[in-house]
Amino acid sequence: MSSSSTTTTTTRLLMLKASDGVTFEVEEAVATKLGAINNMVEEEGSEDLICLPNVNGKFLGMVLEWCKKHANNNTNSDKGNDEVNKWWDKEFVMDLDQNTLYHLLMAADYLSGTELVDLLTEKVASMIRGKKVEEIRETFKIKSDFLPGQEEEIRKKNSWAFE
Amino acid sequence: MFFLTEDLVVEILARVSDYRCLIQCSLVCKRWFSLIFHSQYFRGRCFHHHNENKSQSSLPCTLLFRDCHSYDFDSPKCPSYDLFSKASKILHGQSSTSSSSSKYLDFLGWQNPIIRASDKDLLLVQRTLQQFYVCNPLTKQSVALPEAPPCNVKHVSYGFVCESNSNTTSITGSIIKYRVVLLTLTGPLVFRRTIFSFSSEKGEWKESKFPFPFLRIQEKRAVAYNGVIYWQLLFTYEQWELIMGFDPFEEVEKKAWRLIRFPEGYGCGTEQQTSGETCIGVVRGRLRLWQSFRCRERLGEFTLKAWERSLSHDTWLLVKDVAVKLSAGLFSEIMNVICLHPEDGDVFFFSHKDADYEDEGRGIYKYRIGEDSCFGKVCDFMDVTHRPVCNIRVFPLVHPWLPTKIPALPCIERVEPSYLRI
Repeated sequence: MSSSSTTTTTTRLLMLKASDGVTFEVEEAVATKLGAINNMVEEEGSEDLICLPNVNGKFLGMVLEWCKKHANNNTNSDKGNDEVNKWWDKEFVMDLDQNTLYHLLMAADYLSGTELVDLLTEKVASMIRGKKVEEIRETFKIKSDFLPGQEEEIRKKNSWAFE
Repeated sequence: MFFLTEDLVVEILARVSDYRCLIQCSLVCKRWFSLIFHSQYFRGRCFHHHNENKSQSSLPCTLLFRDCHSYDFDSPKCPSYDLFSKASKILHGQSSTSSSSSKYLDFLGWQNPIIRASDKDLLLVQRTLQQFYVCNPLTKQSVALPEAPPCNVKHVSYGFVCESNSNTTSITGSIIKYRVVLLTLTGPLVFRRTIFSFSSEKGEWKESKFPFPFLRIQEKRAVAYNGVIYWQLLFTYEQWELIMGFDPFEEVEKKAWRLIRFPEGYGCGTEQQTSGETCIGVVRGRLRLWQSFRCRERLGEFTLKAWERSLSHDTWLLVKDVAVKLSAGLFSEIMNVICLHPEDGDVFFFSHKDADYEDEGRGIYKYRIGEDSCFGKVCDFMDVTHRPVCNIRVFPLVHPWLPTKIPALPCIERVEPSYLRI
């Protein structure tokens, strides 16, 4: 497959197979935005079909959508593109529900998409900022596992932060 | 959520930018608590993110305006106004910043805490003639200093400077060493001065000689910058020409003192202009000197010049030279620059007051360069008397990401083996 060359540039196409069998055909330059795939591609004699048993098709699709945008915009690097990327990123994370955010973050982390992890962790941090303990617990459905008295003790120690 | 890997939780929490919120996070569950307070890796990531963002965003800051005419230990609370930046409001929380009257220092528990100096997020506060406290008003921590040597309160210049010791920085707060300096007149000779300095590690006051007996010091203009205290010097009547620096951490006396000339071009306005107020301050960790020039014919405007001290070469660099148009109702002749914004080089504060005027323009204003005729009133003038001189002092606090922790003083009275000491 990779031997098919055109007059302009040779674009190697990779097949990525998600845990649920869904496959994606993407250009190498797009997929290698992900560190994990980049490593596999760099290994000599690598195949064009890459199986990703830890990522569901829905989220792999989203991750690749992000990669595509950033790979395209990186090719001609001027300042305007930086702004476009930022704006696009903002749109990308704006309406993510928690479940999607969670799976996307796991997928991005598994695939070593460092920039995407940055973007998503920043998004989660922004959901924490300005909130109180109870609100954070509620937002992320976390139950307190402190023993009775422990929580009060910590509150007392840092009382200024709870006034 | 959140069954995320530890690394991801660390990345998320390390991006929570204010410490108040991080404390809230530490109470969410045991896992978050131990990450925040006990993980070396988390600490490293936090510092990484905060250093990365430092150049782009400014730190939260709080400006404490005080009318020091009323600085008297026995008098009721002196007129004051506390201005919190947006980020500072978040850091301090709703309750501490929403009330109109200043309650910021009420936690100290006495009526009229007199602020003498500030550095980073710490204040030097005086309670009685010989009783000083160092406090962090955000975390409401305060440490009482041992009794200071008696000084004539009318002739003291106060200095306070701290130095962070990066080796002892922990997630519960960075620990510092600090110095308190009293520069005081002694004896009948007007120019005879003595230095008393207090060291946080030794827990003692020490007396030393002032090496420039011929210099006069303008007491209201002391700023701390980079571990050194700077005073503007008064040579001849109303002519500022030198800045005196004192590094109280320096053991060798000769090396501790330095004199800095004013920048070239200082005092040079156009022909019709007269030099006005000079003001030194620290802006984003650099020493700055401002001067305003007013024009007799045109009271609706003035010129501002600012120089910045470069860190590497000991030189001044002209960084601002702007003509400022005043809003209607404001007059340059009764205007004094009283403070620079510690985190924004384009912003300054000035007072607008005259003994004869009783107009509505009296007050403290904020102005941003480039926004002409756009003067935001910060607060009314606090001083209700008719004195011509403005005596408002401003103490800026810049809150680092980790609130500064004031170290406990060593016990010096009791003789204990050193390993028993705290």
